[in-house]
Amino acid sequence: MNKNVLFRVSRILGLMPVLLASCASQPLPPPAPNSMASKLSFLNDIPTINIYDLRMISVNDFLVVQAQLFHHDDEEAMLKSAPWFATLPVLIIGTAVQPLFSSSVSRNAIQYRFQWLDKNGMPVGNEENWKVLNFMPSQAQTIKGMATSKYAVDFKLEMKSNN
Amino acid sequence: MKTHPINFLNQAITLITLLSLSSCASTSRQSAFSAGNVAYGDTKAVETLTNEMGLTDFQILAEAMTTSLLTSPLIAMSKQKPTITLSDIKNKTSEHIDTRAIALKIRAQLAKSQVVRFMSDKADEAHALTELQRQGQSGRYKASKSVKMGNAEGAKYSLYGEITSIVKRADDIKNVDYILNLTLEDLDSSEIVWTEEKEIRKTSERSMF
Repeated sequence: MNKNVLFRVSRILGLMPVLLASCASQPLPPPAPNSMASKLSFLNDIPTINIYDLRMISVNDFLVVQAQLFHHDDEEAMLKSAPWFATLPVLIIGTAVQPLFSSSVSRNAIQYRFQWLDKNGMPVGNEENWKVLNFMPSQAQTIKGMATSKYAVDFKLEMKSNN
Repeated sequence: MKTHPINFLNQAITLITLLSLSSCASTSRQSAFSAGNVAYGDTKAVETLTNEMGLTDFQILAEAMTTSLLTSPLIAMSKQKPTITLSDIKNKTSEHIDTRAIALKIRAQLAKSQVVRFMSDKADEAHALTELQRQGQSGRYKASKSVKMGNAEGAKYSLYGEITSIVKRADDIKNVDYILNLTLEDLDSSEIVWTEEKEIRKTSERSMF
């Protein structure tokens, strides 16, 4: 075999781990527009919770969002439902309840807030303050938020651990 | 005179220590605009420094009251924007709380929604009267271009309330419950058209150390 070819092959083989590593570290594709995942933002490791219902309605022309959470004891079972989350649409009131994956560490409180967006995806008004949500194991909780501007037509629910 | 090796070693160590300390001081020196011990914090973060009422509580209370009022039937059924004036929020807790600051926060959030109109309250009126007198009596302003007395619009609704607290202690644990109750009253008919309450519980444990 030609020396040059050998050199090229060895160089490519040498680069393989680097190429593979770069493939592995590629971020996940962005969630589908208007899916549940596109409305959620986890800023760090939050407790093992399922968000199994996320819906928005208009009350007096103000956008109201409600999320139902369930503190999950069995992390493994919860993770199995993970592939569903990327494609589920945000529910309009009256539709069926769907499971949604969230994340990992087991604690008993999280912080959350809503970010309200106008039709161009720009934030409306001031940032909301963070709110603490305490929960017991296996307890279902409902969180509700409301935009105080009529220009808000979309939202993002931000969550982080209570540390 | 011959220097003892141990003395020489001591002097060398002292010199090295002094040099390293001075170099630390010069590298950690901040710019002329910062003393190094001041930082801006996130005012939207949850603040739990003590269990007394703080900005986080103000924000929670204001948000709860605003969202409740904006989703109330009063707003849904009003053909015109309701006119509201702020009255007092009485502080019935054992600590000093600037309840006017809570009221102003609620007013700011409601005003931004553009579905209600706020008329001046007692505190605002003092400023308005001073300005009206200045325009009307100083002789500096044209009569046709100055604001006249007697044209103000009175509010239809009055927003008032009170904040109370319940404090309990047991061993090293202190529990404080705050309850803010707000009421919107129709000044014509004296009907209570909206009322809401929000509770906040804050628990602190005295540190063992």
